[in-house]
Amino acid sequence: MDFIAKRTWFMVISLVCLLASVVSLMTPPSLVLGIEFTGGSTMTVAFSRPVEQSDLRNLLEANGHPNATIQSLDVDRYFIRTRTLIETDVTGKSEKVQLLELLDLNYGIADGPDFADVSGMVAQETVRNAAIAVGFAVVGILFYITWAFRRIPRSFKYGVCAVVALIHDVVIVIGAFSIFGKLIGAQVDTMFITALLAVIGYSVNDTIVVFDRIRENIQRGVIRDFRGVANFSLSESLGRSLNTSLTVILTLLALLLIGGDTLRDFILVFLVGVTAGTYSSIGVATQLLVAWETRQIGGAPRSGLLRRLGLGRG
Amino acid sequence: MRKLKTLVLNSLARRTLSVLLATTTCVAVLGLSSVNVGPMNWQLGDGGSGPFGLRLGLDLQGGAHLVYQAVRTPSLVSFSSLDGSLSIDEIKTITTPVLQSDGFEVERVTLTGTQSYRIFVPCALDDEVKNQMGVPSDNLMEQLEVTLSSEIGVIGDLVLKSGCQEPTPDQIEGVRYIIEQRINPLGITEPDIRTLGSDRILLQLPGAQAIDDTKSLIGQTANLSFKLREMQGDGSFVDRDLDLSGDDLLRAYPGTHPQSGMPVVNLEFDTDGAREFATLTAQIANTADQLAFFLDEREVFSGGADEAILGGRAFLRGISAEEAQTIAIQLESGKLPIPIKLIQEWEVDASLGSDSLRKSLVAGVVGLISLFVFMTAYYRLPGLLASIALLVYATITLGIFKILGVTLTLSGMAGMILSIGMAVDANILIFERVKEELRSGRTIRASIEVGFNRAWPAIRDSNVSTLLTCVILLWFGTRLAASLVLGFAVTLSIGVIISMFTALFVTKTLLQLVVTTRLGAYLALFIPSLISRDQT
Repeated sequence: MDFIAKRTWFMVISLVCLLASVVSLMTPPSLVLGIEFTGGSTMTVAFSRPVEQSDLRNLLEANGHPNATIQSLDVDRYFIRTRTLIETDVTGKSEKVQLLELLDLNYGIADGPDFADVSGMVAQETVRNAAIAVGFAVVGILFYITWAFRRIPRSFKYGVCAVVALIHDVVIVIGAFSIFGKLIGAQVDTMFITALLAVIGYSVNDTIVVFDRIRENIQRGVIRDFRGVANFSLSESLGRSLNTSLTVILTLLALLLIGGDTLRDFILVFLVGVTAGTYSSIGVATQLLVAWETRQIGGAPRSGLLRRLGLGRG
Repeated sequence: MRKLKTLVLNSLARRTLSVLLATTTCVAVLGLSSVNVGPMNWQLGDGGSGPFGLRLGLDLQGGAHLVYQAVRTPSLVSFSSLDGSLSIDEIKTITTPVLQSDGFEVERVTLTGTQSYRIFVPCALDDEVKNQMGVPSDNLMEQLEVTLSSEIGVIGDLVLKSGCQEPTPDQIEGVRYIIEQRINPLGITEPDIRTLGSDRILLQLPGAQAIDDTKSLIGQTANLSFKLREMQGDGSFVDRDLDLSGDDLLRAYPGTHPQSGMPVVNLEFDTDGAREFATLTAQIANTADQLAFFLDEREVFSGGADEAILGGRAFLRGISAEEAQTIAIQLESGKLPIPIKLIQEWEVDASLGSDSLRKSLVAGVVGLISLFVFMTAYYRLPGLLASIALLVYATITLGIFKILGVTLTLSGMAGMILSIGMAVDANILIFERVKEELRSGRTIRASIEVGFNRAWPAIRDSNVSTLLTCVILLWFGTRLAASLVLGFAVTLSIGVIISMFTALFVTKTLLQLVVTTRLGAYLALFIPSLISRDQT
């Protein structure tokens, strides 16, 4: 299979995904922040009838609180966090009263609820700091790949291409999450941030494995042109790429389909990220590298690179 | 040739032994009820209460749910009297009826060294009837002045220092911050500490056994005060209030005496405090008089002074190391911006919901089994061995988490999931290479050797880049207090190191071990039959 010839297709797929992400991110609400950031309302409430935690969660989800955190404190006593409850809505009834009536009707309130406003736990600053840390990590990755591929001339191209693929994946994951936010009310919380960190790790890992084949085949020097080397390497590593992502996706699907609701958004981020990470190694990182090395972008190599490598087409 | 073979076999035996040893050690570690090594044992409780004695975070396991409420400090009525001979009880008898007429009680009366009386007046219960703040009104103060003047003669400086205010957002945030510092100085247990409403603080900590330790760590204290304990002619002692207070104390921390090495509590006072402290110690040096430390009305420490202490630095000695720890915490807790008290205390379940987590655990097991099935179906015997290697990986990783006292949260799980993915990937990389070598006509044994060598650079570079990322995240995570990044980076870095070990060491050893048995003669166990078509 000639992967490089399909470059236009890869570009179209990537552009469509990126565009969808950017459009969703630019349409408010771009990303909905969870109560870990914004704070919200809390209550401690005891019920007079036995209540299953999952039933309580379903009840709240069906009544406008899909992201409520519910923790049991005691038998039939729960600590519930919701988004900030509004004092009065269009019907003139406060959300607190509505919630109280809802709970009382279904389970009978024995004690409470004592409503209170809760502050956000994660300051926006923490997220900014995490982003700074990731930024430095990306620079570190760039330098490391440049160093690890140092036997290949102009190895920084490999680093740059891996980082471009990484940014591609991150934008798509954030964009997808923004779309999930609109469709199923997914909210940005600490889970999302850690899942994003994992996606970054996976994306780089996958790109390096594909690039390693290219490095090996260049050093073997069997195939003479870079396009051929890249294409051969992609076909060789395709089995591994598909199998690795398949095993990971298999495990994640199990978690998504039969796992608990509270981890749903977390697993979704992973799934999108693993798919994007596997795809971008082939469809973004390698394609970009081939285009760059074969002078289709970035101008002519300044020192007769291809000739020196013995990779020139003639 | 025979010599070489013996060498390989010997080293194979050695490697098999070390794999077995590492695995059994970790199984033993996981089986023990608690392990007390590693640098993080200062943490609350012994070992974790999660499965295998692992420490699980709030999101995965739940723990303590404590709610603290700011206590309104009593108002303070102070005045001086020319006739300082009146006893505290007499003042109490005179003032109580006046204050009671307006709904106020007298909590206690004290007499300071400068002949100034202080009457502590708790906030009126029914705030709305009397006065919005629950503080004596101007009118009541006038009545008090009239009564006091007629009973004890001329009084001076009748001042009302009103307490009972709602805590300001800054004060509550200050308390929250201090609690956070005290509970989680290294930022690794990911507690949940937030302000609740205008005057409460919600604190959730992993591990329910943490409740008692936490309570003593936070205390629920109010005022740190100092009193002068004067010896009277008959040998009894009388305590006098001082101008020195908890506000003057900058820091209190446990340590050891520079010369004797005995445990002490170090004290540091601010400028005003240092001046006052110097005067006081000069006054009591080489007398029987003592300085007593009180938290609210409870005495924490008392002792004399050998000489005047200048410069505002002092230490308390004659105590055990544990006492030093406790006293330091108590003195520090007296420095909370406002006093707080514990109003709710529960054991709380996981914030991700224990029911939901149970389902996810089952799903995770199902996912892993399907992964094993897939690997075995696709890669045959090596796939089965890799599955065993993954189990070894999981055992060792969890064992190390337990030894290091890592608190496993969901962000930690994300790091672990990624490292499992990388471990699987390393195995797949190796098997693909081994298959390629088999196809090119090498023997099984040679293919394993060459396959591993060929796969190594990719595994090395991808894992090292991940480790590098972890180091950067750890470095920044600690400095920028981004604990969610820390949990991820800690488990990922441990996981990556172990995953390299299992892929290159455990899987390889298992494969080579199998090759020495009769199973090694069946090529079909290593390479699916459909591949043989490619060979033709």
